[in-house]
Amino acid sequence: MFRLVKVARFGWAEFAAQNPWPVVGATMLPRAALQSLFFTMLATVLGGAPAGEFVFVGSLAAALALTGAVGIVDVPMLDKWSGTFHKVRSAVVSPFVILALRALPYPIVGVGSVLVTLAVVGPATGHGWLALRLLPWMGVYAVMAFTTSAAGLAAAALAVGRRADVVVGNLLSYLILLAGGVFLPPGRLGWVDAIGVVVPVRHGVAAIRAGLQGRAWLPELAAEVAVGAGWAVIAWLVVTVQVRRARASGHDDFA
Amino acid sequence: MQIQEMRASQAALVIGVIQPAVLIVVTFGLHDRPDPEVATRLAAGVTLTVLWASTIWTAGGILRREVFQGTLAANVTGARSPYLVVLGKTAGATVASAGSILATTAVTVTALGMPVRLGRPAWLVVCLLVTLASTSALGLLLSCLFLLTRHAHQLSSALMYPVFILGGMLVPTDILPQPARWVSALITLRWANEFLVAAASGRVEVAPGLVLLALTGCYAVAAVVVFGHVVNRARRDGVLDLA
Repeated sequence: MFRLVKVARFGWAEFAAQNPWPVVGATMLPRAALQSLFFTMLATVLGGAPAGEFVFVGSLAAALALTGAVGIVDVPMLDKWSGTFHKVRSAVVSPFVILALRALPYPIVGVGSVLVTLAVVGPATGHGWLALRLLPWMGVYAVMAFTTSAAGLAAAALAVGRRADVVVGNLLSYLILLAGGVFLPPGRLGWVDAIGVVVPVRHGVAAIRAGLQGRAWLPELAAEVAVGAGWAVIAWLVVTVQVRRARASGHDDFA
Repeated sequence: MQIQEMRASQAALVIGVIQPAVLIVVTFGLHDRPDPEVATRLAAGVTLTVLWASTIWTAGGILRREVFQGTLAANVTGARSPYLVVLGKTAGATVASAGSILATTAVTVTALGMPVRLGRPAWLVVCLLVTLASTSALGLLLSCLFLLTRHAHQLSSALMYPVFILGGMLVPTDILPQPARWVSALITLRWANEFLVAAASGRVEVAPGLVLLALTGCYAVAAVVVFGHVVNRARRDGVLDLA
């Protein structure tokens, strides 16, 4: 347990070195809020007030993609850039657990960005009352922060050996924007709905919207947890294969 | 050379293909069966919106990449004018991005069956050329500004959405608060959008075109002045390789 705490603290120090808190406050949080503001305004212009309200709820989840899908790629990539993965795979703590604990700041900052966006964009777009109604649902947004981060970690682990870290992180982020149920209502485009089944955030946002309308929301939340668990298993598998291959052949994709 | 470098870049795929395709699907998906006027306005708005994003990530990062690669000092002290080299690179990055963006937009809009007009092709080309010149100048200006901070990557991310909101491309300026509208008037992409939409709809509106040209000139002058200041400061402090 002590070792796990040490790894987690290291993860925070690593995050702070990459993203000093003044930079987080001046750029990352405003970006999440401005992204939500832009898409909420756009939806209101294109589809009227109901579309604006629909997208406002979804845009809060889209903010999670900025840290959970794009930013989190830095966690395994730092080992590649620094040539330190051989230390990670020979550590006492499991390599996957090390990467997961080092990635902990990303979903937490993601939840922070959701709170800031709720506080600023809600009143600015005339959704102040909706913003208050969403506060009890912050737990579901927190779940989505972790499912997004699980997907981001899986994508990053897959991309490490292929120099595709920029593409993969952004591809996942845009996949969430497109098929995450963030902006497009279900049933609008069939092929988007089909892809969305395995995309993080989709079921979580559906749970929140169902809950706001007084419908059953637990099944969608369970589906969101299942999707996140699936992505976490993929991340674990990729890292495990990397470690075993490295032990057998002496090199891995992080070299 | 810059265009060839862009072809091998991961960012080019994201900016030139993924981003415009997703934004078009989302934008048209939010609007129920747009008529030709609306479809044309949305297609133009998305194209210019993504062009701004690409300006930040490609042209805007030119000088920082020169520093990482250790070639900034050589470019600045070489036989050719550094302004020529850097402007050529930003123009190359802008042209490469614009080509992918336009191709992706055309394919995606066609695949979705959207009734987009191309009323006055010659004026569309003129508008496009002036817009590319404008974004090249803007790219150089941003490139110089990003050289002044170690957190250019985070700053780049934060600069995207203010222009998306204030630029009048997808979000009309008349829904913005009055104080924000004067900011919108200083963004060339807003005038490019008005000129482009009018030309695509079969009209020629000279006024937005003239404002676009005037602002492009101002951006170019500002870029040259700031670039000179940044380089001279680095030379004076002896940190040209570390700028």
